Order: sequence, then C-alpha cells, then structure tokens
Amino acid sequence: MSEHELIRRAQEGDPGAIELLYRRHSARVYTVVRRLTGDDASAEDAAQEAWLRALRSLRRFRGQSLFSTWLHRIAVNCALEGERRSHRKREAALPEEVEAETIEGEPLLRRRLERALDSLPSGMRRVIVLHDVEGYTHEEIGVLLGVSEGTCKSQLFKARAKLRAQLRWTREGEGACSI
Amino acid sequence: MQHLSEETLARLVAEEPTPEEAAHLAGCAECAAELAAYTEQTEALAALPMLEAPGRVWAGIEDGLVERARTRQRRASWLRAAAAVVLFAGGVGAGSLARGGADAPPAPRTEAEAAVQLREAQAAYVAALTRYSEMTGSDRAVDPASRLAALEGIVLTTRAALKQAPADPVINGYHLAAVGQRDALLHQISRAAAPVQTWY
Repeated sequence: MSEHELIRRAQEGDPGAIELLYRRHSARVYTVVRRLTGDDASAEDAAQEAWLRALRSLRRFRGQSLFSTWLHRIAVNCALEGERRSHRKREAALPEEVEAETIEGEPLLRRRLERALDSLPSGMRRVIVLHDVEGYTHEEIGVLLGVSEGTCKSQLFKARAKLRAQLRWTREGEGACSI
Repeated sequence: MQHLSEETLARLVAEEPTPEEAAHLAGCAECAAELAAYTEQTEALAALPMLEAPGRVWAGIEDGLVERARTRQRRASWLRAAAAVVLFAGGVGAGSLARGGADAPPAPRTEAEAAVQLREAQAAYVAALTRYSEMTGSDRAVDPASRLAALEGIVLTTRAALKQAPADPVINGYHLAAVGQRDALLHQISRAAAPVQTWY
C-alpha cells in the first residue's frame, strides 16, 4: 500500500492502517527520542506521546511535507518537552538490540558511542544528537531549543569534546578500538 | 608547544582552520591525530543505526487510543443528554403553547372526557421520558423487583397525599400513573414468571 493511501486510511480511523503506519515509522521515531532523552523509560513515554499527538493531528496533515519529516518534528518536540518535565531517574541500560550485538569491531564502537551519548549532560546531548546524528542545522536547533546559533555552536563543540573524553576513558577500560 | 584546545578541535571537524591553526596542525602530529579522531567520531555518530522500538510502546499507544475513544464517547453522551433535555424542554414548551391553539384538544365537558385526556397526557409523558432515556443512553434495564418497589413507594406516597388533597389534579395524575405502571409491571412479571419466582 502506498504511503499516501495508508495515511488516507489512517485519517479515516482505520485501525489496521494506523498500526501499519506505526510499523513503518516506529524505529525512526523511537531512535530519535531514545537518543535525545538518554534513557529507555523516558524514550518510551516520549515515543508514545509523539504517536498519540501525531494520530490526534493526522486529519490536519495535508501532505505539504513528507509524513516522515512531519512525524520526526513531533517526536523531537515530545522528547524535548518530556525531558523538561520528567524527573525520572535515568536507567543505565542500553537498548536491547545494542546489548545483543557482539562486542567485536563496529558493534563495540556503536555501543560505546550510545553509552557515551547517554552519559552526556542533557543540554549537550540534545545539541550533538540533533546536529551530528540527525543532521539539523544550528539555526533549526536554535529555534527548537530557544537559544541563539552561537550558543548552539558552543554547546556542540563542548559536547563533542566531552564525548571524545568519554570515549577515550571507556576505550582505556575496554581495550583498543578506533576513535 | 601549546596544543589546540579540545573545543577548537571539535570546531575544526566542520569548519576551516584559521592560518595559525592550520600552521599548528601541519607541524603537530598529536593535534592532527586528535582532529582525525574527532572527525571519525562525528562520522560514526552520523552512521549510528536505527533502534527498534520495544513492543511496550505500541501497547501504550493502543491504550492511549482506547482511552481517547472512551473520553470521546463520554463527551458524546453528555452532548446527547444536553440535546435531549433541550428537545424535551422544547417539546413541553411547544405543548404548552399549543394548548388552546388549533391542535389542542377541546376542553373536557365531563369527568369522563377529562379522565381520557389525563390518561393521554400521561401516556405522552411516559413516551417522552422513554425517548429521553433512549437518547441519553440511560435506558439500562432496572431489575423488576427494584422498579416494583419504587412504584409501590410512589403509590403509597401519593395515596397518602390524596387523603390530604383528594381533588388535586397533579397528585391525582402522579397517583394514577404510578398505579397504572405498577399494575402493568405486575402483569408483565406474572406472565414471565417461572414456577418459583423470588423477585420480591
């Protein structure tokens, strides 16, 4: 079924279409909220909130942008808002599929990167995830976070340096690996 | 030799170095290696794979959708109730206005005619209430024993009131309606009753 047809059916409240729409885009939504929030519990809350918000507004979606782009923006907003009001303690656990990977080569690097991202202060994590992982511009991030482009750049450089230090530290603990 | 700061190296991942920074990088293998590591880190971040959402996420969304549907249903019930009240009140108002108009029944000349009109008015009243219950969704079945007990209570109360005011039309109306409904219910129950019926 085409994306257009799927969205049309979901707009009419077809439960099968809604579930299929979720299956197609769930990973992208979960990925961005997981990395922005830095813990599993907050990520699950933010992902649910993003989907419920999107489904509530779906009738107003006119296809002026890609559905995935529209949904991604909602997910980012939910993650940022959720993190502001959430007082939950962060869980150190990594996402299941990352844990399940072998610790050889690239999976180890990924695991270390994910762990290092989780360990960053939330302000730094948001900027580096939005810029270096998701590809947002400083201008876009400034609007999302309500800060100037200069502040955004400064936070990004600090975040990269902090991440680098974190990776250096974990490399010493886990053995030789690139970066 | 003064090395480039960490934040400078982090900046140089995507920005051009100043002439001084470029000169330093050309002559300092340590800083050049660090810059390469920063670049590799940034590229690795951009290449991070997507994560699968745990099954709990969809379960939570489904719960949220069900809850939202329930809320909408409750809101719709309230709206229906409000609409029914308006319709009912409108009907009563229209009936009052019509009294004495072209559609109004002629004024009774005898007690028998008055009694017929009273029964018709009671039937219309009961029909309107039934319709109201249907519209508001509050027409859930009440068990016969409870309904019979309630009707019996009204009969006793209105009978006592009639001793005080035997000619009062409102009290008479309530009493006759309650007696009629009680008798109809008793008839209905006796027809449906099993050999041993303990509804009382």
